[in-house]
Amino acid sequence: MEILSQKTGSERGPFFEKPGVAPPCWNCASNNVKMYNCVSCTSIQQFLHDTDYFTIFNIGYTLHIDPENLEKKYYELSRRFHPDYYQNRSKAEQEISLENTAFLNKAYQTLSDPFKRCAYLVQLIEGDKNLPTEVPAALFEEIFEIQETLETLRDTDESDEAARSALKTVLQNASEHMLQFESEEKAQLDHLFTKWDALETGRKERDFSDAQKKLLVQMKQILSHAGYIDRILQDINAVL
Amino acid sequence: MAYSDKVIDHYNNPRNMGSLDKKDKKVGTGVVGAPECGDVMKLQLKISGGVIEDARFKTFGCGSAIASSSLATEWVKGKTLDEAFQIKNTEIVNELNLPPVKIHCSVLAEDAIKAAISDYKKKNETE
Ligand code: FES
Repeated sequence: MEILSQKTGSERGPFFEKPGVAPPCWNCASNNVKMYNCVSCTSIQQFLHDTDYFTIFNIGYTLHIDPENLEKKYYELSRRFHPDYYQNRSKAEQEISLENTAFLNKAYQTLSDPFKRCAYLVQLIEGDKNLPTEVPAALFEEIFEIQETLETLRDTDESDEAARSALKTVLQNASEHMLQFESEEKAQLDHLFTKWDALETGRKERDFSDAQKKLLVQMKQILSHAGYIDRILQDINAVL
Repeated sequence: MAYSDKVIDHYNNPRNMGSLDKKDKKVGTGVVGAPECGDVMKLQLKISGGVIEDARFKTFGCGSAIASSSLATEWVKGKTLDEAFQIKNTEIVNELNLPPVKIHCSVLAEDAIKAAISDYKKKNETE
């Protein structure tokens, strides 16, 4: 069956294909397809090939998302696609319900987290995450310093309790400083979200203005730091 | 995922690990990172008469990134800046037999060489 061979989940794309009009029902070929169900034969419909996470929640391409609203819509859609309801339907319908559910869960997880949400938007628009590889010198220096402290700790004999606990204190402080930096970055990102949303007109096409594309560049800068911060915090936590 | 013998060799016996004096005019320093995995790499070159006479690296990252940077320091020694600038990550991939998921680790090494060279040039153009 053609429709089932479509890519699922995060492999969907490429994104700048024209946002699609619902194709005829895969089961009975009727054109009367409403919100994921065929009106004529009631079959469940698969998410469109070019559907993105923002579209399925019908929230436009806005970056500030009301978590309660998102959750509410998530539950509505989950119920609609829930595999339990399709137990007595055809195999094809069961598969679509599973695929849609998986896609929906991924969408909800991604949009719930501001960093992931923003990275996803970048990927939607640019086709790739394209994160810059330069990192501000100060952040880099700090990371190297922490890594070197971690190395010293690994090389310090288990029995040398005094030296070890001194190193751990250094690491503890470093981790607090990183967390602080992370929350500053979050605040900056939040500020950019506000600017972005002010420029969002609620249209459905994915054509964004130059002003918005400039904001994306700044967002990517911040996103590119997140990987290093996560990583160093993990490395510190592993020894503390 | 199994590492190739060459990667393991560089990992266990890294060549030229360490640092050079960052403030030395003859030293160019390149620091780069991979935002996806958070790995970071520092590569330093000591240049004399347009030829790289020494190189050092320090990498906090996966085995492939360590091996790539270790190999890169071996390769650049004795090369002119232009020659070193030509080193491609694909050559590193071939030499170390890196699988596709580890290609970005070799890119890190290529970028680090380029960053170190441009740091050196920047430092010395102001005269
Ligand atoms: S996994 Fe990131 S540099 Fe190798």
